[in-house]
Amino acid sequence: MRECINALWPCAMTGAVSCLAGIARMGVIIHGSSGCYYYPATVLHRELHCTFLIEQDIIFGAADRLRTLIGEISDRYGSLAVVNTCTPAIIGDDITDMPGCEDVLIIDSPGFLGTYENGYRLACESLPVTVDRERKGVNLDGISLLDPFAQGNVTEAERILSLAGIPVAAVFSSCRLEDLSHAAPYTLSTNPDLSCIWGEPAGSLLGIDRTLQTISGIQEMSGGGYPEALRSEAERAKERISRSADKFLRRFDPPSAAIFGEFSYAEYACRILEQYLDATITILGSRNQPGTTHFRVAEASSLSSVRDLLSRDLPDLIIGSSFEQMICPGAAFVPFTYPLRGMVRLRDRPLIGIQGELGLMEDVLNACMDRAVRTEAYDPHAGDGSGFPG
Amino acid sequence: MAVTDGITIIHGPDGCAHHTTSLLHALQVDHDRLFSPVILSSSLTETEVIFGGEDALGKAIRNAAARNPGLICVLTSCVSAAIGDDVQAVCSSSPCPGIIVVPTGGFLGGGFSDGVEQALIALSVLGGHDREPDGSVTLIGEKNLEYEADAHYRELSRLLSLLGIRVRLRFVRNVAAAKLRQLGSGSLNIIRDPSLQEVGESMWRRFGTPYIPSFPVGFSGTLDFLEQVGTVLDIDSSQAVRTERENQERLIGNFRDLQGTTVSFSRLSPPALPLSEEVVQRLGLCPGEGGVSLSIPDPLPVGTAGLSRMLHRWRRVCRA
Repeated sequence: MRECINALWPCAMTGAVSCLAGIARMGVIIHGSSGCYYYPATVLHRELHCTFLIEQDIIFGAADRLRTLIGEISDRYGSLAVVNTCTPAIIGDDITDMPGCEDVLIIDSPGFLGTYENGYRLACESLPVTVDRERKGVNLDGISLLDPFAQGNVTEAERILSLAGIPVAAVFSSCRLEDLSHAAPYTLSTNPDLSCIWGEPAGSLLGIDRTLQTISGIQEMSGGGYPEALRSEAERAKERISRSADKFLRRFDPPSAAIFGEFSYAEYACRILEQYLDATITILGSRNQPGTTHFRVAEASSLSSVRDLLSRDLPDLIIGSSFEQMICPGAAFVPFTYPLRGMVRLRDRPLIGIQGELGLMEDVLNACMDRAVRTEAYDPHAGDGSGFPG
Repeated sequence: MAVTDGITIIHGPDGCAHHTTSLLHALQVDHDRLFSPVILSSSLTETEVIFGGEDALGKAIRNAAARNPGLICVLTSCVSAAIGDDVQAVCSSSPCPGIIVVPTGGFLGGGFSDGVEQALIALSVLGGHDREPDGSVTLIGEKNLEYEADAHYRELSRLLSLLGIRVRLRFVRNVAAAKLRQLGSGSLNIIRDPSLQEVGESMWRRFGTPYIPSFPVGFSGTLDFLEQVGTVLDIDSSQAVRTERENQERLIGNFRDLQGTTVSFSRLSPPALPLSEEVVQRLGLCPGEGGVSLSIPDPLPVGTAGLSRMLHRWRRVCRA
């Protein structure tokens, strides 16, 4: 059994809640204790409900309490979903067949079942989705409330797709309840780690190249023309990044970088750092089960594993969460994954599409330059003591 | 988790350990600290739920012991309580001595305050009986999740210094395990708030240390607190009270511009009511419907400095 010191990633219950709470007009009930409620309520910033179970409910059964709560709030929502937590799941309280609650979605996603991604996907599969074959446009998946790029990704996807004249149908999971009953036949991914089963997969928007391939593929299928505006915007963006990266490399060595996050996001960041900056990737630390990649990869879901990975090969640059920032305060840092504590973030930032790649490289270059200049300024060998670089 | 060289084992799924890690990380970053308490999870999964989690706990204890911590504490979660693991037996039979078991049982062991109380009482077994009271004060049960916890500590230290007394031990906040032995050697315990009165009673029975059941609240409450401490420790508090009363008069003078302002309070908790009445009266505010809507912080502000910070926030609202 692996050692887990200071677990860094939320449980399946939080993942399920995060998926369901993204659907407008869907009421979400956590069937569990105040402790299980408090965490998702704090980090997801959505109205959630809870049965607030106490010991007595476990002895005498908690279904009555759940039924009462459902009755109290059902008028306020178009649909209700209940996420089961560890203790009611263990005691086997049957909440799947409550009279009068036939329309309520029951997601059996207790925390011990696995990771955030497991719970998210389980909830996503349970959504009341109807794929409408006649529906024009595409769905998006991979949007999760815990993701600092979630809203930015939706906005960027809508912008890019509108350039191609493609409407957005359902967004998993950030749309109206009624959108679920008219989902489009194809789905584009914004985060492959949270891909859903709805619609036929039609590519990813993670990165400029993949975005162009995906849009091209969609247009071929639908018989539409390729949007020249998108192609020229993408070319301009890549030129701008290349120019800035080239300028950086004229003065500084390529950074060594350690990248932490969900696997697909982190792998994407590794690729573009290698592509634009010839960066050395010391480690891809994956919060979830890692996939296949040519980068050195390890699971990094506890503080001890992160500390261990970072101490083996100290990087110049860390792309990750405030946990990694805390461990390596001297490295350049780019905020990338939950949690991001100790900083103010108000803007919606995308990671996908053209603006996403521009934004990530902008953050990387600025962080690396700040650190390099800072290091130079304090390097006693860098100048002649006059205060000017040598 | 506030024992700086301790390791806390949460006997439950990783997700439960993450909730706590995440919360404490947020607080540490807010306070510009890079220290992170070590929280080890026994990583219960579906397999342990079916076959029992005692082996997983034993493994977690061995992992913790290998790091030579000053203290190992084991907290039970709702999962381990529901599957019926005998945590005490696992810890007692462990080759690692002195493990403190806090039978929190997640929500099956009660609410948040019950957990705090149980943890403080469990840790009190580390206190020494072999020392005479040394005239110092021990703070009991500071709210480690409270954003202003250190500000309250500074105010307590300032007030006690007026009496020539110092805080020797913070039980339990940012303290090394070895220092917990000093628990029985203070002359007075000051409890964070009355919800932890049972902890004060427990220490009284165990060490014979008298206690004051709450940090000071309000203008008169702060002066009463100084008198109370003086009485318990047999110190003449009259000069300290005089000095602090002058300090409070200066503070009220600084907020004279608020005099006559019509104010109202929304959602006052029962303990906040007397404080609101006192401050309204001392500052010459006019309570009335439609007035500026003010709030009393929860937990209540501590000492004169706490009142000062609250009044600055009130003035900001009044000027808006």
